[in-house]
Amino acid sequence: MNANRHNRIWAVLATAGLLLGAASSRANSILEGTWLLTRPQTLLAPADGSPVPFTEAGRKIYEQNRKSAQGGNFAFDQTMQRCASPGIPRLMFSPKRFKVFERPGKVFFVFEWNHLFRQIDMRDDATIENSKALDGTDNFAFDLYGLEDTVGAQVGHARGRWEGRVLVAETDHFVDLKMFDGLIQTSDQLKLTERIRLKDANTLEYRATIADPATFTKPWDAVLTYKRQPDAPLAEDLCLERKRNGESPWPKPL
Amino acid sequence: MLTFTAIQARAHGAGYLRPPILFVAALLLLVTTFAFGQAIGPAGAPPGAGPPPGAGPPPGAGPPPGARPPPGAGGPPGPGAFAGAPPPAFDDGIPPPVGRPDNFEGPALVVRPKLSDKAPQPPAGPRNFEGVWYHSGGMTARIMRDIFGARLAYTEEGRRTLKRRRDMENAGTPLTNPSSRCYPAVTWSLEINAPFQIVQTDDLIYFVFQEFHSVWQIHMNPRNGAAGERTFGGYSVGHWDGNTLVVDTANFKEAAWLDTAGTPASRDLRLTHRIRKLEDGKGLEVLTIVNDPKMYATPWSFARDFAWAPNSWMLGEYDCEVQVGDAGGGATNYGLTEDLQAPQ
Repeated sequence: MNANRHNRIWAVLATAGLLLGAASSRANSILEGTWLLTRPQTLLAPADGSPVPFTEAGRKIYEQNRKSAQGGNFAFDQTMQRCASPGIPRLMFSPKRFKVFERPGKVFFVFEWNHLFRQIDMRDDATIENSKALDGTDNFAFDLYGLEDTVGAQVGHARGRWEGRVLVAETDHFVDLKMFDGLIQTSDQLKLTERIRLKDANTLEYRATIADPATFTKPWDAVLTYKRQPDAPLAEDLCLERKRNGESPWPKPL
Repeated sequence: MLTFTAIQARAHGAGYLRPPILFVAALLLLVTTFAFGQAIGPAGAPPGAGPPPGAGPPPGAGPPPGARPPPGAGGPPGPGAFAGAPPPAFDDGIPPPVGRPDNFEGPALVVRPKLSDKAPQPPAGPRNFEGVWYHSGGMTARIMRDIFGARLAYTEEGRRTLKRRRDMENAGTPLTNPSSRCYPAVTWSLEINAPFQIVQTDDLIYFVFQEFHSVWQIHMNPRNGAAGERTFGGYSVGHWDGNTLVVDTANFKEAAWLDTAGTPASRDLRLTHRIRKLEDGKGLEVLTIVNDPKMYATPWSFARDFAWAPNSWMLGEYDCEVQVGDAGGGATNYGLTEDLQAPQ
């Protein structure tokens, strides 16, 4: 009887150990997983319900784009027009799933939409310096992040750090006149402070503080939430193929 | 130029493919017969015996300088075999690319970035390939030779396909390929001079390439289901053979280019990749076995080396589609000519 009970206890412990072991490979990760936006959207607006604080110039371009979109003309938007990268923050409300890989030195996002990726550089200054090749054979694209006068990127340059269990990324170095969402266009002064955290085990929250003095009169916050999805493989998504089949590359903003 | 022995030294000396010595001897004999037409005498390895004298260096050892096999020994040519003389003329009727010799191959030496001692190290596990990797072998525009230095044995269709691509290139009207249209092309992506990121979970392994935004998704869990419909990237199933990741890929939706010069493949191509870390963990070697009876008379293989590249940690942005022209407009994809006769 006693032996039986012991056996049962050991069996339970062994099973628990196996389960823990299976889960332990990413036990310390916070954001790792497969995520999908809870509420499909193509536009960003302040989380507090106030209107977007446009500058005069910002509003002018926005109104132009809105009228154009109402007429079914998306020539202002390279994503709608030819499947070009929506960049950040737009990818963060892409209509398909994305996977987050939390790794030393980098948090890596793989988006199902047109198999794009984004990276948040998690290295400290010393590690960045120590990573450089002694003979100058760095990836040429790496210079993008080292030079002030180079052209920006659709995804910008994101440097991140952990504040407790919140991933905080300072993201800038965007291309000028990029589509910020389905209608707003921002300048190369755009800066995002992105805060990504788990609200609960299966809910991811993304909060961005958005600043671009050329487009907005003051910084404002936008919030997106995602639900955890099964860690299933991503489907092959080819935007140009969808476009060829008559589907819209990206959900229409109006 | 890579000589036969240099390829061997690169392959074996770098810790690649470490098959039993008998197998190496048998391969050397086979290749010698195939590539150089030498008669194999009784010096061939009898069962149970070691390699015959002169059968080439043991894995891990470079050949002695100037060594040549004794006549009739059936060994591979020494490093001097091609020295001072051009390689045998190619007689497959495919003209060389304009502006570069057809036998162009990158430097044989494994080139790795010179890193500080304080540079981040690769993950320790032999099955953990995560991180950023960058070419460390010579870049080869057109594959042309298999890992043993033998010419590729094209079928008539394979030869015709490659020749047409070459003719169009030389006429100043090069053809589009899947990558130039921003469609996935894994093998092609491994052939271009750009880094890639690997991330792994128990069920899935991703190779994410900086350029032409190809994502190679490898299914490690059979429960994910077998390949269904054909896709442009094909369907890849992986398993571990010791510490070597073996990936079988098939079910392509359209014919691919295996390299930038247009080395052909049909949509019925089957690829096997054998991928492993080198002994010091800072090299990744990818052996690609090509099985495509439509284009090649026999399966063949080629190898590539990649270096741990913390100096390229952040991949650059490559916004592929902005360079793809509008249908019916003046510009076509990258200014290339659309391939209306692409093989199936």
